[in-house]
Amino acid sequence: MLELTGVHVAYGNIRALQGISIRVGAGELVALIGSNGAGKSTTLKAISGLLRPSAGRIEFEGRDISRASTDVIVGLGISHCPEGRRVFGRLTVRENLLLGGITRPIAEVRSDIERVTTLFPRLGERMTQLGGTLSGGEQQMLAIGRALMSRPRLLILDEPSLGLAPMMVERIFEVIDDLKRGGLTMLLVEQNVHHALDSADRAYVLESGLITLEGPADVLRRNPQVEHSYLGR
Amino acid sequence: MDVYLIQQIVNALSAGSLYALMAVGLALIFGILRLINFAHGDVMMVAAYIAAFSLFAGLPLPVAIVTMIAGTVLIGLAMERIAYRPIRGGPEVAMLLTSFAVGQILQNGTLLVTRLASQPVQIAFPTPDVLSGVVAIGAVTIPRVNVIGFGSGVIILAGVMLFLTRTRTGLSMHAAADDLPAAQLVGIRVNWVVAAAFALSAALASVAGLLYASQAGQINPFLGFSPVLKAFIAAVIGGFGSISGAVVGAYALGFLEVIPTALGGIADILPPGAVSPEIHDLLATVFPSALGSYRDAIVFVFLILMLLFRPNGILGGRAREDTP
Repeated sequence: MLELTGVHVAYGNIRALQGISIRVGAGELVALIGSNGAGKSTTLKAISGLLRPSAGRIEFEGRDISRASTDVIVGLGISHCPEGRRVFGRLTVRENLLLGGITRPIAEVRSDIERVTTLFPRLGERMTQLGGTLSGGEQQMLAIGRALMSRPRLLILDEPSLGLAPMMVERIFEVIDDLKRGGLTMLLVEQNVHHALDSADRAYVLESGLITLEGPADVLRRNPQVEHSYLGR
Repeated sequence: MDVYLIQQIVNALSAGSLYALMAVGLALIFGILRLINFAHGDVMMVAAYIAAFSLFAGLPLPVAIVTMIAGTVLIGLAMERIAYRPIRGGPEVAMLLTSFAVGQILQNGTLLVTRLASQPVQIAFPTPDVLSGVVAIGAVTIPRVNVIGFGSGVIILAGVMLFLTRTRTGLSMHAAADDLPAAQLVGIRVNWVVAAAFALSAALASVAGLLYASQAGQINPFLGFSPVLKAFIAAVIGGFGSISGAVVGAYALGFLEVIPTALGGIADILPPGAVSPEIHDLLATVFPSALGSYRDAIVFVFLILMLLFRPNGILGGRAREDTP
């Protein structure tokens, strides 16, 4: 479904990605793990068109999207739920969701809002509250709900559990598992490697802009290097 | 005294509407791009010229107004596309300096056009009949342009508020102002939203230009300087970047401005014997009739006090600390 081939991204002189290749098949949950500054968020931003690759190719369902603008990419079916949630703090929950569906016909947006509030009943209770007044966990739900409003076929999640209380982390991973059971393809960046490898089918390890390991999640979990560096054993 | 008071209130409301039309445009652009568009006053000036030349050409008023709005919107869009888009996301100082440059270009461009049309620098504005003369309500006579200016300002601003809170494009402007990258990520076409904000802000400035020119009776290529400063002050008073704040700040500024004029020489306006001679002398000393001419100085002192003690404006706490 999604295929990155030899993707390079540079910030000025800093080469953040040095030719990475990643594949996400339909219905898969693929995790991208690595330490801070390894290039995980950069990879996601390149996919969603916030950053332009200096070399390499990004294909979504056979179509080259490496030069497409973000709104076109969202329209094609990729939705990127960014790190730090980034909900529109001065807009209400309903307005946040409404804008999540900006690429969709307005007539269908209303029923999609209902779909999202069925998934996150807590959001349904807070429709008129401003995004900025929600708790961290609620904001993460809103960010995921907003990302789902464009009816993505590929959902990109950047650090969905970052800074959340343990109970809320569990809840977010329940949602991710639910979405996976529903057949949604996902690419997940997550510092909680334990959880990420539990939920994922496959995973890639990114270090200093290069893919150093890849494989099925349960194989990577037993890899001594992964155990040592990311699972703290 | 009552007549005088009512006249001053209408003056304040009318000036407030004009400042609000300008300040909302500044706040819209600043909210999204962090750009203080000082060329905004010159956009308003160009609108006044388009209106003047349309009326000189004998176009009926509604056609002249449509021409003025359309022409001004085109200039706003061109300004965004040519000058601001290439440096979007750059340092705020670069954007600010660019806005001064754009303003200079608009002023000198207008000057050139007036020369080519063999017109003097300062020309009499062909104020349409509907905007000239006075309205008499009992003993009170009020310039008609002030009444229409206040009324049309309120209607237009209400429409803008509805647009910004009820339509997807309007909400997209809010979202872009709140968090530009996040707005991009949900699929908002940021270029389109920014262009729409410039178009709307130019349209509002054009209405302000027509009202301003009709009040002043004369136009020149440099008339935009004072209104854009006033709109800036209004936006600061209200809380910069907030649209509702800009409106509140504009009307507050309208009232603030008439106070020195209203109080100046108040002792001489009071009916004889209304106050004791001592109080009359005190009033004459504290509020000399020349007080009105210190209007701008008083307004700027107020601005400085606002910046010192309430930098987030009347609708305080709305200042944002966005990370780019």
